[in-house]
Order: sequence, then C-alpha cells, then structure tokens
Amino acid sequence: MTINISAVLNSVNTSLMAYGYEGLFISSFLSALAIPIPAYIALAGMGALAAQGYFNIYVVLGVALIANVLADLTGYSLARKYGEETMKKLGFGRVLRSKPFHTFEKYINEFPQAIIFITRMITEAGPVVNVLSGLSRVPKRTFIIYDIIGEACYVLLFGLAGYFLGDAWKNNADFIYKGVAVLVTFGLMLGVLQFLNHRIKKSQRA
Amino acid sequence: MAKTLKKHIVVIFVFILISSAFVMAFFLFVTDAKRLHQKGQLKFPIKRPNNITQPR
Repeated sequence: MTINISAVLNSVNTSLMAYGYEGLFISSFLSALAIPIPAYIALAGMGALAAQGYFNIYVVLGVALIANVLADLTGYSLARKYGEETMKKLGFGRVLRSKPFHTFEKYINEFPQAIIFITRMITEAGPVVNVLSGLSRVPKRTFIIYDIIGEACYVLLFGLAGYFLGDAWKNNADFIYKGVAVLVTFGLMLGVLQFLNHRIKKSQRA
Repeated sequence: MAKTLKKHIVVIFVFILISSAFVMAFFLFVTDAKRLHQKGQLKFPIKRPNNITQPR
C-alpha cells in the first residue's frame, strides 16, 4: 500500500482550516506528550495559512509554543513525581538500578542543557528525554529554561518556514530539515564545548 | 597527563567535526533560502491579502 503524501498534507490543511488554533494546540500537545502525531506539519501548515490571512502568525506561534512547553512539563513532572514508583510497580525497578541508566543519569545531570535543547527538534526523542529528565531529577529550573529555548527555536523554524514559504511549503520540506540540521548541530556544538570545559576543570582540580 | 591530553584532543577533534557540520548545514540552509527566494517561493516580506474571509 502506498501513501499519497500530498493527499495527507491536503487533508491536514483542511482539518487545520476547520479546527484552527484549538486543533493546533491539541495536536502539538499530544505530539510533545508522547503520541506520534506529525504536529510540525500542522504548525507549518498553520504558518502557510497565516500568510494567506486566515490566521494570525503571532497567535499561531504562541499557541504552538505554549502547547509544546505544557506537554513537556507534564511528561517531566509526572515522571519526577510518579515515575520511579510506577516503574517499580510495573516490574521495571531493575531498569532504574541498571548500569546504563546510572550512566545516562550521571550524564544528563551533568549536561542537561544540550540534551534538552537538541531533543526539542526531534519529535520522537523529546517525550523520552522529558521522562528520563524527570526520573533523573534534572533541576526543574534548568529543564524549564532549556525546554523553552529549544521549543521556541522549533516553533519559530516550522511556523515561520510555513509562513514565508506559503503554499510552496509542502514541496520544500527538505529546506525545513536543513534548518533542523542547523539547530541540532548548533546544540551539539554547545554540548561538546560544555563537555570540554568540564573535562579541563576536572583535570585542573586533580 | 598524556592520557588526559589525548582525551582533550579527541574532544577538540569531535568539536571541529561538529562545527564543520554546523557551518555546512548553515551554508546549505542559506543557499536553499536564496534559491527559493529567487524562484519566488520564499516570499519576504509577506504581502497579505486584505479581502480574506475568516474560516470561522
């Protein structure tokens, strides 16, 4: 069975016209929470419709940002409060005691900024990192700050790409992916710099 | 000491690789933006029609 991408995109556009800001909020929230919905398509589509005068671009960007940040905070807070208990009840307690988890926990506690920022651009990885950050007890303030910075970049990239490309956004998805590559490599660069700085300080102390 | 230096060199090498990837991605992004702008697909600034009917 083949999937006709342009038919899917057209149906997304029609749905957006019908459900507007509420539809964007719900799809962005569910996508950032854990449900695999391509919310970035909805966001770019809303941007394109805003360019045609159907919606206000500032409201589109604001709604998407609020929905994404709220969903990330929900995942993080639930994992922080009930994650350990639930994992133990479900019989996954040994995962929390395993060596890979401790290694990841140590890493995310030392360098949460880059990981949180980069995974905001990767729809599938975002919810996993939210839960792991909650389980690893990454400080709330750090999580909120880097989550908002990352989500703002994501929302601006997809929303404005749709806005400035207008109807042509459907045929130029690779242009948007290049933007994602710029942001991800930028985040990685900062992460490596932070790691290097940490190592130099550690070796100076030793 | 030599071991620490070796580790630092590896991290610096990784940093150079990633920053090269960043520069390349940025260059490709800007080139693509220019190409789309020349083709008239990337419209900047936007001229919004003022006789549009709101969907709802």
